[in-house]
Amino acid sequence: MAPAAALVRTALAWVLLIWAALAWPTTVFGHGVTHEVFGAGTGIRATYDDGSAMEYCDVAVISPADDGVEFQTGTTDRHGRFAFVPDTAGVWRVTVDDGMGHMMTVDVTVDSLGAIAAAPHDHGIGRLSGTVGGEGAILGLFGLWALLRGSKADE
Amino acid sequence: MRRAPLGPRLLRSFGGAAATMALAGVVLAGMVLARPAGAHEHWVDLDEFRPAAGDTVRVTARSGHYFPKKGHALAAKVVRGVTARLPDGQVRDLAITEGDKQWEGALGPLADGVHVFTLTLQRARAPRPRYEARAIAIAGVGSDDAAAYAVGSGLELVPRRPLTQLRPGQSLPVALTLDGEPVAGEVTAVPTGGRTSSAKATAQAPAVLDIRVAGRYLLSASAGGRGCSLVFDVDEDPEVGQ
Repeated sequence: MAPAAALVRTALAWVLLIWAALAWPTTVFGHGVTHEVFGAGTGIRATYDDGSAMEYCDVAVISPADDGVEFQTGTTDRHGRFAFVPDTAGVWRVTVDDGMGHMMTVDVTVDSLGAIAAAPHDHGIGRLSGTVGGEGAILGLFGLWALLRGSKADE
Repeated sequence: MRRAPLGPRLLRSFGGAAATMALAGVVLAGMVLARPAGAHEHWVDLDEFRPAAGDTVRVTARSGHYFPKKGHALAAKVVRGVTARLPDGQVRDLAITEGDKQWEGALGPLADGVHVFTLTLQRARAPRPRYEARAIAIAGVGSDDAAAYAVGSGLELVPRRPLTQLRPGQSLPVALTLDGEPVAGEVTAVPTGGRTSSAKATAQAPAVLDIRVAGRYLLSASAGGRGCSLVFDVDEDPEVGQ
């Protein structure tokens, strides 16, 4: 055998060996990953009543299809925001908890997929709304009582 | 008896209900005044606010709406820790354990002087504490120093006169500071045996609180999205006991 041909075969063997070594891990871990970027979804921004963000707070999302089962959990970002992608229409319940005594639950209505018309309905009672609501309830009760008392006096 | 038309009946009903509405107003005022007392606060409490030098003081940290009796322990994930600023200026981390209704720790033996205990609440990854609760203990007789109350970092309530000299019937100026600089905010005071009161602090002037009764006080305030509290003790007026 000519020395040149032996040299070529040796070089080719090394190339094949290196190529096989590089390719082997890809074969072993054969489940590749890929991604797509999309813009759909909805979310909330949670704030304290002084306007500051509820940053890095625990969030749980309950799907209307699986009531009581968490569809997604996570934390708000530094601006108090949390986003999720509904996979069914209906009322989604989102709970934000800072672990220090402040928690809110928000119902997010998803009318149809792809055209999410989020209509947050806040079940949390803020300081102002709580006070006004309480005042209204008390005034209403006393007003009703006064009306009944007046009616009896007429009879 | 023939009933009057609905319109006049309504007018008479509400006209005659003036006293009722006044009562409702009183109730509403009570709700508004009581609201700060019902706010969710966090606090550090001590078993002794005037310990002797050499004593050990027991420290508890609680959270709740009703100071000091009803409270609960916060989750470990938001409790960054409890520290004690010692009379020599050193800051020591206290070993604390989670109990049924509170976090507990101890510091001792104490040296003469002012000890400031701080509970820091901060969520993971948050760049700053959400809440700092403090308590002040003065160990030893004649070692009080109002200049030693300020830690100088975070949001804190700083009394501007010596607490050991404070008596019921006097007023207490309290500054609200953020990293040592005065800021504006409303300071609420909840005494253990008295009525809740509040006063406003500004960047130029401290809040001035009326101290009506002896005992423990919980002060609280918030500014810039952060909260803080301070617990201290007011001694009985010696003339009262005579």
